[in-house]
Amino acid sequence: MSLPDLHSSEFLKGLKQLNLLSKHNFAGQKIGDRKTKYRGASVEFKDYKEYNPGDDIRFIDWNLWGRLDRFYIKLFYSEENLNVNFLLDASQSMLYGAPSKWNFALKFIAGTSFLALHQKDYVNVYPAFAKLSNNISNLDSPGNYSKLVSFLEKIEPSGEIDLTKSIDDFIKLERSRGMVFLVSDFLSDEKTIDHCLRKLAYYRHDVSLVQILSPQEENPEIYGNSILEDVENKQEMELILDDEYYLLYHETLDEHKRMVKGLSKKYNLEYSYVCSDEDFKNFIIGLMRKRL
Amino acid sequence: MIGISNLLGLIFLLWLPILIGIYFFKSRPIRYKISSLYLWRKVHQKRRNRGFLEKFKNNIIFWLQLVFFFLLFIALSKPYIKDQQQNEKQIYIIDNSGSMVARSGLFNTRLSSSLQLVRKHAKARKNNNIEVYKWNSRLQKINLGDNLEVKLSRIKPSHLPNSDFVYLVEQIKDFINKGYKVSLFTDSLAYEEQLNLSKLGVEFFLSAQNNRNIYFESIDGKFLNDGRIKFTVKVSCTSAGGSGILLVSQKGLLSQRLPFKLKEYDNRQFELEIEPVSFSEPIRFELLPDKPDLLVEDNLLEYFIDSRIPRIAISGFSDSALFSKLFHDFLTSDKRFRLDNKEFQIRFINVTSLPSKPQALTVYVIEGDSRLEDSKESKSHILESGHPLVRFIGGHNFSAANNLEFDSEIDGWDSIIQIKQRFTKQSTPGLLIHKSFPACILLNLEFTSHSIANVDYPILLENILRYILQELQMKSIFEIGSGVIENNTSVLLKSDQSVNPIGLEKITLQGVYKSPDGSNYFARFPVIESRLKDADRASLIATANASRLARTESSVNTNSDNSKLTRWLIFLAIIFMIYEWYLFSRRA
Repeated sequence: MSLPDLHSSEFLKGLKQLNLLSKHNFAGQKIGDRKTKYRGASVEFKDYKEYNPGDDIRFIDWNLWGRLDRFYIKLFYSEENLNVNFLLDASQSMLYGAPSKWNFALKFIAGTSFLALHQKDYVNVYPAFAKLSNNISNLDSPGNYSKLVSFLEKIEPSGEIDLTKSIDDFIKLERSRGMVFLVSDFLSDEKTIDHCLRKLAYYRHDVSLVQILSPQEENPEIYGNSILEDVENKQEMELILDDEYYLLYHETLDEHKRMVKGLSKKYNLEYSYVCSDEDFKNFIIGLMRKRL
Repeated sequence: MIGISNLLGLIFLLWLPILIGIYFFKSRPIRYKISSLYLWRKVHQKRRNRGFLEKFKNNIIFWLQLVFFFLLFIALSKPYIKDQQQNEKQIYIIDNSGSMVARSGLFNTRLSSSLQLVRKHAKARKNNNIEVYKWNSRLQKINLGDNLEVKLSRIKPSHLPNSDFVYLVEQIKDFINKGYKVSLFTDSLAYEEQLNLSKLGVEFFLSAQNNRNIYFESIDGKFLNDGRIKFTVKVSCTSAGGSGILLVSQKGLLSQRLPFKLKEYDNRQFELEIEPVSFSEPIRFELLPDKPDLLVEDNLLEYFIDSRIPRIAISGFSDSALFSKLFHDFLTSDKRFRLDNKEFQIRFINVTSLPSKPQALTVYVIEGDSRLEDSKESKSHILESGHPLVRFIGGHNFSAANNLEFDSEIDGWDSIIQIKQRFTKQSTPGLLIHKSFPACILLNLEFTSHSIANVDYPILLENILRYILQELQMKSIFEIGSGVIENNTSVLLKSDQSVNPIGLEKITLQGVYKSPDGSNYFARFPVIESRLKDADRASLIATANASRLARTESSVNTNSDNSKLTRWLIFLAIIFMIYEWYLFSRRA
């Protein structure tokens, strides 16, 4: 398995110019770069409040006192950091394709984390396969990028994903709300996907779905009498693939993508689809634009 | 409809089910690892829900192969486009009356032309269900197996007149009611006859219909108050079209030239006012076509200002003469002709035998009771089938000769009558013999510019004959005419030609001949068909007839088109094969 060079300047170039924005103002755990709805000590003015004894006189607006001959205290927004969570499908199927979906997913997580770390956000990565474990969390500075990358490189996708359980585990583990990037091929049934998305929406995370498929899944290069083996569960299926099958496959794939997108829309989640042979930077720029 | 010429191609079509079967055979499966079976399971489920043949629906290579083989095998079958008429029961009615013996060219008679046309027609239709009838004095079926050629070979020139057209139409109606398609092959039909046949949906092919191209449709003159005459001259043409000049002239004056150009079945009307120089001189209307006309006889018409001036000059007969009386009666009853009584003189001379040099303008009446004794019944007319004279002959116990062998019966008396004719192109000789009469009515009317231009001349001829034969029941010979014998330079029969006195080339000459014993008389008349005028009126129907002929001929070319169709099918098959190969290689 050849992994992409996530440290290369080629990869990181241009990422610094992007900002990872959240749709919601979440409360953070420490001072950060993100404005919250709460009062705090940032420089961004929020409101006035009549002075009461005990208030910090440093915040008295003397210009206002000059005009009105009354004391008013200036209030400011607080600026805190944000939890940016990556829920990564680390099943065997993510290794499929050339270029593989896994590589693209790593690039996406590394790139987005790079942005988050530069914004002093907490970055949590949860590789989700049979059991949600072995995660990395609370990385909060650009200096942690290497640590993140080395963590990502150590993950070995295997087995079959249980998306429902993974989401349940994630919710148990991650109590504070924040951004969630759910990166997967979403080759699961509608019921499972619906369950997961409903849960994530319920906990009011800012959820983005990133569906990655490989070119080989887009246009299977299989024809004639074939035995298809599922790389995750090793199940087999014998088919005589002809043009009819191809048409039906494309029809089904489109239906499936529409289904995932439809569910995202239903729960007011953001959905992005990408093929693993697409240019990563174009994709991430497009994704960030969507969040403006 | 499409028929096939080669059954082998159809046998090859059996390959198609085999091809379909091949698609059901499984080859050794190839193992592929895929990310998830989830989508494929759904696809398989959808596929199973579809019908049996649905699996082929979007398999383009299969369909291309199927089309390729289909086209190839169809091409091997040598298909041809079948006319729908092929399945119909067909009846050919072929006129083999005497008029069909007339030559329509150097070698072909009208009958042979018609027979050729029948062969073409039958070949084009490829119809095996054909019945052939010959039509002369009656409609007679040819019962000789199924071979058309054999049937056609039995149709010989009969020299019989045609039966009544109404009778024929009744017969045709019967055929049509029995589900037959009828095609009539004759030489000419009158307008009404063509109309009748067209209404019945009968195809008719006329071998001698368009005998003229440019002619006068009508000339009407009206006297104006200032003494001038306002003429409305209508010039028409037949299918050939044409251009030329209408020449209007009077004696002593410069002629007036009016150019015209006519398309197919076109007509042009001229209106002109002419001041006549003399009431006794006719005004001549002459058509001068740019190209040779098929019937020049009708290109000249003389308009007699004084209608009392006779248009047919017959003179030298006494008023008391029987013929004079009859002729006079006939002419007075027929308003088309006027006589100048002063010149109407006919001399009748009773003789026991005809003189070697008959006098002009004389009627010789031969006394005697000689009977026709012709074992061969060599009686013939070779005139247009619908010619009034022919009809008259047919209806009055005349019969036609089977051949023109005069043998030694005629000698000595070269020709008692000669009818001079300037234009032999339209002449068809006629031999007129009557079973019960020992003598024929022989007319000798010189063709002058007056008479030759009169398109009603044959009607006159017919009526003269009819009157005389019906009224007189005579056993005599009449010679009627003027200035012919003296100028006669063409002696047809001489004693030393007794074995075969009349050569083929001489048949075309006009004349009347008598057998040595006086039992047989032969007359040949010029043919200027009075029906021509009617025939030209049938222009529209004739057009349809022409198109039918064209259709027939184009149908004959079907066989040559077959190879073209086959080539096209092979070409298409190759295109499909190349496309299929391209798709397959791309996929591979």
